[in-house]
Amino acid sequence: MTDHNPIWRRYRDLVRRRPTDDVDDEIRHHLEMRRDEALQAGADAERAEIMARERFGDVDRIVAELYAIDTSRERKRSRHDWFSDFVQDIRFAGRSLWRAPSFAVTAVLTLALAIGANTTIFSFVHALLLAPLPYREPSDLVNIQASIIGSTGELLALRERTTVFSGIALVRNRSITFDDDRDAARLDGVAITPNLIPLLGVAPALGTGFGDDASRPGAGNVILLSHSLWMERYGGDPGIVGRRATVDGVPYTIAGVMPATFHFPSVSARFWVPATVDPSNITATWAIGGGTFIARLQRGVSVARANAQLAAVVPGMRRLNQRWDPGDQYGIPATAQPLQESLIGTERPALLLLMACVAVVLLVACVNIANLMLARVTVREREFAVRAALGGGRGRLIRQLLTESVVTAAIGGVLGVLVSLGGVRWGVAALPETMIRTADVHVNGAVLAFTAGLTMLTGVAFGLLPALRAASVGGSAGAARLGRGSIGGKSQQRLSGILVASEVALAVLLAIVAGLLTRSFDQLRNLSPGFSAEHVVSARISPPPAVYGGGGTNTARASAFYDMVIERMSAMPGASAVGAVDRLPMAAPVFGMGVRVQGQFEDGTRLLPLANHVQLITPGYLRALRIPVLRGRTIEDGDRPGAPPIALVSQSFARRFWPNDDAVGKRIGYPFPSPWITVVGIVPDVKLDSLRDTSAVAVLLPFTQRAGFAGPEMSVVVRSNADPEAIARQLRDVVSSIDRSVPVTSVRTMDGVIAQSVERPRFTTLLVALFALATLLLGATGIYGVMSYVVSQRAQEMGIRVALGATSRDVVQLIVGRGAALAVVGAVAGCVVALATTRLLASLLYGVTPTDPLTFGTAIVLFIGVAVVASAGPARRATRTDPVETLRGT
Amino acid sequence: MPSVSAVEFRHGAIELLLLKALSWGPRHGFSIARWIQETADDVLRLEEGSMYPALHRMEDKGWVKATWGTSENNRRAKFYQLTAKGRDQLAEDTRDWWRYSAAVGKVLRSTTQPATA
Repeated sequence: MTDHNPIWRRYRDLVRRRPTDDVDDEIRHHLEMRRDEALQAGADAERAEIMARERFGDVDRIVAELYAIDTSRERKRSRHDWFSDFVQDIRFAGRSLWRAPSFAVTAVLTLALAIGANTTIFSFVHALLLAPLPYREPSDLVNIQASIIGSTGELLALRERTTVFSGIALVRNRSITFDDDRDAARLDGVAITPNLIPLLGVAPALGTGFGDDASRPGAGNVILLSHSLWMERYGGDPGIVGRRATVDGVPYTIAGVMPATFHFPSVSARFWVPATVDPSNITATWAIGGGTFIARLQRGVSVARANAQLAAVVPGMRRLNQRWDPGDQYGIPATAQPLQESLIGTERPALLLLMACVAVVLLVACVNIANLMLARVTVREREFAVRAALGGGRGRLIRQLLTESVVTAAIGGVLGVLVSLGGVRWGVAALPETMIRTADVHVNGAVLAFTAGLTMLTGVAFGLLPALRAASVGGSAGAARLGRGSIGGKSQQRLSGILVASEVALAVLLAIVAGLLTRSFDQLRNLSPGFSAEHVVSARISPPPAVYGGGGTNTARASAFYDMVIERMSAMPGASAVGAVDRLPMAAPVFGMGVRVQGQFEDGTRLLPLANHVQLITPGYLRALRIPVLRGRTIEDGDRPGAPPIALVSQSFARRFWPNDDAVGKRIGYPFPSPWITVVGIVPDVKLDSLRDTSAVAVLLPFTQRAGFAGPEMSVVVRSNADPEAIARQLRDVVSSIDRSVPVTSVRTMDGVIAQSVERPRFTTLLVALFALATLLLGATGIYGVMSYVVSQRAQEMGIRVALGATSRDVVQLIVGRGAALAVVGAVAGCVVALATTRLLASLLYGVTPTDPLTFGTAIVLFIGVAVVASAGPARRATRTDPVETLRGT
Repeated sequence: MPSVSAVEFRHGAIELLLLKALSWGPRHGFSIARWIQETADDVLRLEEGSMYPALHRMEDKGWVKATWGTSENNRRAKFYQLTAKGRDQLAEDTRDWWRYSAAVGKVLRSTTQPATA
């Protein structure tokens, strides 16, 4: 049907007749005509009715048939109408955007960036916080968190004494030297009890994995490779299962390869080996800790019930320890935390903060575009009035304008997805590899659905107000003024003013958040680590324990090895000090230990005080990091095995145990029966865990006098004026000239090590600052836009003022004053919101309160400044108003 | 030339009559029925009701369009009017009818006996 019948359509639309009414009317008409005919021919009324119906046939059946035909036609037509209106609206939107290219480009680009940022951050939030872990029934997996040591003894006790778990596995970080006869490399991975893999509900991609007895002593020389290691080392060779490799100097069998998607506990895990469980070895069972317990809840058991049982059971395990008494704080508290939460734990607040920030950016973008559109409503006033006059209808006009804004948003959304593809790639690359599950971050279906919804919402959000405004402009009031002139300048100015003020409020909020984070980061960065990091290069040296670890001749071999490395490195040009340490500050997990103190804590079976940090060092370590000895003497070459055992302690250590006495000459000891160690010197407190480290009760022992349980892995530190690259090269050469099988890894400057330790807060701060800058720019353009509009609306008034003798200065003051007033209102509102919300940031801040007055003040002043600058242009334009011209224009 | 089956044609016959009735100008349903009755000298006594579904389907097909108006005795009535498409259809159906009836006539007038199988 190509030709419509507008009158009929109008009539139908107006009274909204149902098609069935038309059918009834039509048939009634026919029957009445026949009846009248019969009546005229002399039949009585009853007879006439019967005759009419007889001629007609089965009235009910035919009416029913007509209903069906007409109803289906009506349905088709309304569908068609809706669709053709839709197509018309889209074309209309396209045309009006095409006619205003600068508006369209500004809006689309702003949206593309804002939606792109939201999509990017949401990709991370989705993958890390929302998407279930890729394991069987992941909500039943928990991490048992308790103040316990993480030993295999505790694992066995937990399995025996709890009933709420269907399985408990132990996971312990482990670094190995992996040698496939071509190349030895140091790899990070984990030791696990063999039940972990079925507990998670995964299976190796290749091979059968570990047998149940793999944790028996002597049976555990098998290794599972990560997919990435398999590809890298063996080029994805499917015949790899059963092949041999040397792990820490011991022959291992490759038991299989895990799927490419398996990253447990993080992407940086390259292998899995069995953790040995040997109850007959009491020391190994109770004295070696550091494990994490992963458990699966029995079907139907809640986390709360598991918590209740753990709280009842774990503290009682204190008495099981056959090596020492872990103290009365043991096992308090003990809880089961959902695995997903425990894996993401520390990242959660930062991610949520970033999500909130990008949401604010998008909101400000919406407000900004709404304001641009409002200004355009004025420009298009006549168009809307004409449309309204031609019977477009208020609803129709709103629908058209909403379509226009949704189309704008959709274009921005599509570009935003492209932006986010780059953003996600950049984010994954910028994040440290140890951050869990970064490999799972993708712009996937769920993310796209989020973005599509967000885009629609955005389009409506910034389009609704201008659309309503246009409808009222285009309404009856507008029709009367089709001729000329502008309507509603005042109320429009007020509306724009409110929008801009709220934009400024949001921008001030973000500026305050960014300011707080920046100040906090600054505080963090200015903390002294307690040593001098410039011109120091460090590297991890990992001699295989089978050859260099343990006791006896191996110990001597390791000492000789490091002596040689240090001696040769010291001979290099430019090197002024070379030393080694087992736990490099800011890089290695700290190692704490209970200590005996002569005359105070001597009974090793009772609770002992904790030294937060225990380090093994060579004499050159203190010189290389320029850590002075405050009292007594430093470690010397003569402090060898066989010589009297000695130690250095930190100031905090000395103050803690001998507050009124000289620590030098006092004696301390390992928690197990062993000879006393004499304190020979005191060193300053050094930050070891992170720059925020406050636990400085530390003991430094000579590497050469180390206990048998210490591993042979050390970090070498070289203070030298030479180029770090050259030092790294020399170090590799020196080590491989002594023993080719010893890997040298993590070669970094100490400055780099410190920077790395604050990388996460730096990254968060940088992103928030970027978002804040974006909103600042949006806010500035918002003020500029609204002031330009004010100037154009009040040109006449300006003309009169100038004619009456106002100077340029007066005019500038008027305009700039109004811009500044908007900024003040917005800034105050932003500060109020910030006061109410920034305490949520507390966990991300260091050394600055969430209501830091300096930050708040700076943000307010900044925005008043921005407002003045942004209003300056329009104000200058106002001064150039020619009074004669504008007055004549009226 | 497309051939038309007998059954199809009988179905189409009512539509052909309706198209022809409307070829003189817009009419409502009752007036169509009366015209057919008068013109065919009461030979074609079709059940009047069956005309309406045919008219509505023709409306769907775009052969006719409908408008509401006032009938000769001042009642609200639905008037049908041929569209251009309807006019083409009338021409085509008329041609087919004559071919059909000519063929039937030829058979009925035939004097040759069919060959035995």
